Amino acid sequence: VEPLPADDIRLSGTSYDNTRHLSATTWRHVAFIEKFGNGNGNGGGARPTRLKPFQSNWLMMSDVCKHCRRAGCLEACPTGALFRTEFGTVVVQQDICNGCAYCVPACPFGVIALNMESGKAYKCTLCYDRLKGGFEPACAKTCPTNSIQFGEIGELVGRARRRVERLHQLGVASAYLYGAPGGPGTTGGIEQLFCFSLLLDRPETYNLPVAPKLPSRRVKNSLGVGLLTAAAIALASAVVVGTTAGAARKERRRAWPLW
Amino acid sequence: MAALVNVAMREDQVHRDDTRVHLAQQQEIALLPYSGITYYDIAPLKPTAYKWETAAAFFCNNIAGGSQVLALIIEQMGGPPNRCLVRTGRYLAAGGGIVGTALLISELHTRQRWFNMLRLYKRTSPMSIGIWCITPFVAGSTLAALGEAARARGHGKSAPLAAKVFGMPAAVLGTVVMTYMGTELEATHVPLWAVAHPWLAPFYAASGISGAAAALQIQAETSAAPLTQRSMLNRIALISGIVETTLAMRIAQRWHAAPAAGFFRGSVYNGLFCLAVIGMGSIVPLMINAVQEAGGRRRNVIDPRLRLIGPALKLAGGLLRDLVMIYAGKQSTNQPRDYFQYAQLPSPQRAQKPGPSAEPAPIAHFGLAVGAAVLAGAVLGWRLQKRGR
Repeated sequence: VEPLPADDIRLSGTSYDNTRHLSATTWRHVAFIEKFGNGNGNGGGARPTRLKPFQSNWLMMSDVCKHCRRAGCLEACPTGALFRTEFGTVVVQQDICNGCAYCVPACPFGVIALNMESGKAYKCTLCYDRLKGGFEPACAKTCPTNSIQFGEIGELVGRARRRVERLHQLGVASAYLYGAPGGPGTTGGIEQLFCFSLLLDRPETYNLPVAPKLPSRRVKNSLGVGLLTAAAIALASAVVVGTTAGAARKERRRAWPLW
Repeated sequence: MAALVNVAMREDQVHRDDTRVHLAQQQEIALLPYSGITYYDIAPLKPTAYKWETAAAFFCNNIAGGSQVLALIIEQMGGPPNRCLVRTGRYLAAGGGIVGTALLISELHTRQRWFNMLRLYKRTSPMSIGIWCITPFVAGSTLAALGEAARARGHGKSAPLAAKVFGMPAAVLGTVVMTYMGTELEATHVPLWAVAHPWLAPFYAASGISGAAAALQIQAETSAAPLTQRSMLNRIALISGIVETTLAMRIAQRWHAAPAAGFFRGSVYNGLFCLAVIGMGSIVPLMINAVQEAGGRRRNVIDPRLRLIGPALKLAGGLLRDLVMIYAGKQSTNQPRDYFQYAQLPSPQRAQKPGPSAEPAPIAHFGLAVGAAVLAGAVLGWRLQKRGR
């Protein structure tokens, strides 16, 4: 098995982020944001010269496919290439995908992407092959600080909530969970992100939407209104055709009387 | 941020009901107004892979669906004198459907697997709904067109029956074929398309009928069809054109008011959309239709060559509109601020805050221009009719 090729590597802004976003070949990506002045370091302002011990102004988030409870990509896929595994994760079957790419604009987090060389869509599988073998995903296995954790989702949410509580007690009032049930990232029918994060600033700072909406929720309403309009215009057209044909028939009778 | 501090200070409550407080805190974050911050201006969404083939396929399928619907209506209500229109409608439906399908397959990145879309039906996927309607539509339309061709050549007694039997279900599917592309665009996270919900699908539905009427008008004008036939098509084009223009103005109003469509207002696509939909698609064709309609059905008040301009412009405007829709949508996904504005919870505080939405929309001007064109056309037609007498 060949490793995934590296993307076009360059730094973004003032950060150490050299992949900038997730792609068809980058399935984990770490966002780096240095907070100083007004904004995320790009907005000017002075870098502080003194900090509390063991503290920095850096925000970091390890981004990955969220494996949503109700996934926009999975609902949009017309081939069934995207499917929900027995572990609750969402995976693309490469032997089915035909590269229609409709899953791409259906993902609210910009995760899934098309590989133009192979003509198919790719994203993180949460190491489906390793999970089937009884192992944890490679990212969680290799993370040296245990920042990426893997386990039963209910247990993880409870652990993360206790961590947020602890941070609040320590004075980090801005800590919250992105993707835990009822929170930012789970709106509009998405319900829950199985890969969720503990964040310290607004979601947009990490390039995440606050309140994404599941696109499939619009299908019924949209098609219904469209078909009603089509029916109304078709009915009006039928009336026009009927009256015109009736008038023409009368005219012909007048021109050639039967008696 | 004050809200977050408050939550942190309620330590006793945190211990009593931590889940409830976590939820409240998370919702407060979601309700804070968006400050315009981005992650180094990098787009949070991936751009769609749609290209010119998608726009051309939408255009062809839109006209094809509308033509099959009109063919059935004219067949059922119009009687034998309008047979040539039914035949042309069925040819258009088959031709448009085949070309549209070929274009849709050609834009797939692994074309040899196009049939995988027929493995399953998914009601949450507009593309799946579309493909399951287009496939039997093209088959039915092709058989109906073959039946019409056989009938025109006088071959066999079963040809008229075949045209009718295959044409009827194809017309029912045609309503979805000419509408689904609006739903396919709306049901995405592309800010420009998503904020137009739920007007894109009805807009495409109206456009399907008016485009098909324009195509039939060209056939009627070039084949010197009777005046009653041309008048009938003229009235269908007028009715569907007015509905289409009203819906187009509603969509343009959304794009001019929604903060999530901020890029569109200052882009070249704004002018091109107005040119395609309001200018080429509405003002000129509606004015010519109004002149002809007010001028009476007993004689031609406009030169035949001039009468071709309206429908021809209408069809060219339709193709330009679809190209603008696709390429403006692609650009829209590259705007992080537009998407973050779109992905906000509605809040009363934010609704009161003046923002880009307070900009005056030129919709009233469009409405006035289209209304004035129709009125001027009607007055001109009436004057020409009087002079003729």
